[in-house]
Amino acid sequence: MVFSSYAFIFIFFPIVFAGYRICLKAAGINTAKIWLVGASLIFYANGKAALSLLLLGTMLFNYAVVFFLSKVGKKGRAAKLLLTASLAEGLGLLFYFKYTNFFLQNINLLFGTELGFLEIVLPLGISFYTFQILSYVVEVYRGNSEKNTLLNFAVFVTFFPQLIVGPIIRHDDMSPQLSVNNLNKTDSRNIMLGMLLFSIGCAKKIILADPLIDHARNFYDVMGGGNFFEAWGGAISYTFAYYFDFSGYIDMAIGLGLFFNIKLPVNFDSPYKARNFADFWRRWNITVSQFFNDYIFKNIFHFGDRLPKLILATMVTFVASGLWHGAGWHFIFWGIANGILVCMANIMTLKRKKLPFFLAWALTFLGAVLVRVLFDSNSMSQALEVYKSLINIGQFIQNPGVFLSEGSAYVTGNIEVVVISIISALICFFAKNTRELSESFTPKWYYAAASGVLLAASVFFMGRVSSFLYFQF
Amino acid sequence: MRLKKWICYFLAGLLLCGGLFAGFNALIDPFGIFGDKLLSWWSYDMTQNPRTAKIGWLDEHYEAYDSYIIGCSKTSSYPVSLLNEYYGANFYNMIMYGEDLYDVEKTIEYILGNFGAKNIVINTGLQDMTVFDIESDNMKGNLHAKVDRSNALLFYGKYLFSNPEYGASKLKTYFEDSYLQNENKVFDPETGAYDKSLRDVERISSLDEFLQKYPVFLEDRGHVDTLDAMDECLESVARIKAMCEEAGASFTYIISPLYETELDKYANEDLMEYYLRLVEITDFWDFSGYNSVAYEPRYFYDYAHFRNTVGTMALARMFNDDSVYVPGDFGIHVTEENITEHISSYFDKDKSLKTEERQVIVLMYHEIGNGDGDGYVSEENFRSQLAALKESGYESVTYDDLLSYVNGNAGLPEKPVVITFDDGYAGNLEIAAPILEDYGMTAVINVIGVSVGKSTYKDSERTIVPHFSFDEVLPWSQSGVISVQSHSYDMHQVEELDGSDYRIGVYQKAGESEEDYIKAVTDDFNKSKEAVEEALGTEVIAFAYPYGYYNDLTEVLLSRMGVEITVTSNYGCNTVVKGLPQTLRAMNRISVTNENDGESFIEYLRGFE
Repeated sequence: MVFSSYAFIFIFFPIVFAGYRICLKAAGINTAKIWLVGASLIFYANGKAALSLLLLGTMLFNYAVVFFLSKVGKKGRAAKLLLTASLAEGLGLLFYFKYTNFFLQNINLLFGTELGFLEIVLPLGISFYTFQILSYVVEVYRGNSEKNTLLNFAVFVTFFPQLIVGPIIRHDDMSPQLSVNNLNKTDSRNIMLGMLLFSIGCAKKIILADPLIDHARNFYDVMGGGNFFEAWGGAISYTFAYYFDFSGYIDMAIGLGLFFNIKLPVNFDSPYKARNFADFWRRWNITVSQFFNDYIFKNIFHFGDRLPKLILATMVTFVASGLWHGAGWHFIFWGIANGILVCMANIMTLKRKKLPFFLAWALTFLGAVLVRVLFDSNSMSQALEVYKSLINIGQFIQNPGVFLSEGSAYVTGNIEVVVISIISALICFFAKNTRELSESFTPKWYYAAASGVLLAASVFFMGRVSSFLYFQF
Repeated sequence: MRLKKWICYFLAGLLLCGGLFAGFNALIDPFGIFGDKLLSWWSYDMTQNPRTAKIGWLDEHYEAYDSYIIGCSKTSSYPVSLLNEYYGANFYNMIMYGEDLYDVEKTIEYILGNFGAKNIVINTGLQDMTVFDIESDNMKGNLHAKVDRSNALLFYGKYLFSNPEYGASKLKTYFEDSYLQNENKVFDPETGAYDKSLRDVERISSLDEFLQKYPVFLEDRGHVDTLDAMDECLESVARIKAMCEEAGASFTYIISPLYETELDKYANEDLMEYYLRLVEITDFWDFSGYNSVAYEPRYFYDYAHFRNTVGTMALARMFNDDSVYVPGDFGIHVTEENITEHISSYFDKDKSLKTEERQVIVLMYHEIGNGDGDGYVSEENFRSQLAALKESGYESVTYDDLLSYVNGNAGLPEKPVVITFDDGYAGNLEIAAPILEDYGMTAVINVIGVSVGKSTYKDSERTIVPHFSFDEVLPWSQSGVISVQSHSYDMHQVEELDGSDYRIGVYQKAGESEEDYIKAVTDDFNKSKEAVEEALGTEVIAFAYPYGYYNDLTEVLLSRMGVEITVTSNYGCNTVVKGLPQTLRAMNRISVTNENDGESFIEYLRGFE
């Protein structure tokens, strides 16, 4: 189920929230938590029970691991074995669901075999909840976290606001929030901020991201390379769309969490205001970046290591990140490109070199647009086609008139997309982000009214426009 | 701020914004649910969802109708004007694309209950028996709540709270709209039928040319469709018939003409069962089957939709109208008496069935005599060309002859040729007409209205090749040797003489609005037509495009002004098909020059066959 849907807004959430409050008042905290876990599993299954069973299985398995880890004492052989089992289970499932076909495809390519692909449906959110669980198991193994009750562990893993695309929350950030006192309190500020964040997130997704994604997907799926303007239009609109889609979803998640008095971590902090790529990755999908930083980067690079080690650590981290984002060579190249850009930023910082603010920001944003092409293309060869179109100004030199008329044709033919892109740019570059808004939030009438307006507008535009038209003559 | 107050402001914002969007949806009303008061653009609404918008239209206009023809999109091809004429009634064509009999039954129930009707005609394809009640929640496909009596609150709510993009698209399209029918406005709201004005003026000629343009007719339709919903559908037919009887409305059931490959999709046993069971419920007209219409792709818009001209034939068969061409094997009234005989021959395929057609050559001359330039054919050559034609068995025919052939009222000779002269030069009468008379031949002269009787160009002093006057041509017209038709009044302009603002043939001028352009074409043709008809008392039914230039808009405009035949300057032969008036549109001509003496002439013509 997605948040920005009628079913969620009008049916699922009202029932779950009301039920949760009733459970809290009438039956106590544990019943409320069971209600929440049950609701989360229904939310996750969304009609496909197998999905929730898989999640449930993984959860119970890892709880068992944590349970025994707490018995065997840290860092012994048994502990190592348990950790290995957990890693094997988590990463094994991830590999099976996400990478089997990519693996087969490359085997075929390498050895000229003709192995058939498997029909594997990727369970939603598996990349996120696997990480969330693994990080807890590792921390317990390291002795940084304690065993929790099964119920609290279940809430931690399944809490529906953050189950599908994060933000990934650390066990030790979540656990204290599951106390009776915290869950039981009625915090109207949380509800108000929750409403505001949910409405903002919903509007970001429905009003800004969806039309831009449609446009950009049409570019990548139908047009291939396109001309100079179509390529830039496709690349830029996807750059904004992806941010609004993802951060909108996270805003909704954080807002929903607040209804239950659970503060989920900040995941975006105006990434397109970044002035270099290291800065960008500190602002983009922060909780996932943090995960890679903690469990990969810091395992390779240690304080005091020299530059080559820094470069190695950065590159390995980003290649892993690329693979985590998707199974395909273009994701790996996307990771490499990001790694290189982050290395460059780090080297500049080490050498105390600094570009003027505007130039640094503009180059970073341009980099973000160009790197996105690798991510959004359907294949490496398409990405190259798009790059060719992006720099194809031959027409401009030979026949500026035709070139400009192509440009104006693109603008007039896609006026809605151009307008939304401009609004998106203004928001991304100049507006307060939701973290800043949350931190300085005091309930004001205009925030309340704005929440209503944004939610109403989102609900109206939520209905898919059916293009079905039966027409013969 | 307290939570309660917050919620109040939140709700205020929600209602304000929601109210604005809902108001917008109701006002722009892209599905014709709320009366389309602002734009009143029903053609658009019906295109979006004919089920809802047509009910919206009828709720307001039902008094103009007393009879209804209902069914799938094929139903649109029975012209309402003919239904009105034959039934002596006022029909509404209630076609709903992708309809099933559930839609039909519910709609008839609503019509009989709310408007009343004298006649109900149902037209079905065989696909109607494959499904029943496939109604979906699709905004573009569901019935009006008034019709299927579904929850009104949910129904109106769905459209009121629909995505405003629907309304925005309507507004955008409204302001970008142009005269010609297009995919945004496929219905004529007043008759309820599809607006086929464009497809009905498309040039059709030989079968090869047609199939090249529409290869869909050659495709095998593949799988067999089974008549899975026959039980429910037949029960529905029985209920509809009973409803009509109770309401005192006549009831007619038609099985529509089908193209060969569509018919092939169904199994014989299924069809036999369907027919035997149907006839127990009602007599019916059957235009399907492997008849000569089914084998002729040019009688169809696409493999699933027969042309209006075929609908005309079907109605003429039903009402014994001899003035319309109807192939002998097309259509039968099926009753319990003849059902056995009918189904015994139904499945006989006879691919040799051919539509009647003729190769027609239209010759294009300009001036006859000894002058310079391509336009002149010498008297001597002209005479020898006519002699060669005669010797090779060609017989000259007039436009009226072509029209009578297409309408089924007369035949055509084996090798028909239409001799045409463009512009109306004096030599056409002085030299050519007597020669034509000698050979017992006829010709058409396409006159430029503004030049008739003139030796100078329009109002200028500039001399031009002399043009004959109406008085001069009158006796030739009366004797039948010459038929005068239109070559425009003043749309045969010349850049050197008319200046920079000249019009290229009948094309739109740069910067000219569509409205002005339409007015210019309409006024020009009317002027030309009036001049000829007033002076000669003959009817103008044809238009020769100046320089041969034409477009969809001029074809539609001329057709609406009663022009049955248009000719271009594209070189080539024509195939004229019985029952297919489109074969008289944008006809090819073969230009004759002085290079063709009698000996080489026939060879030259054969090059175009």
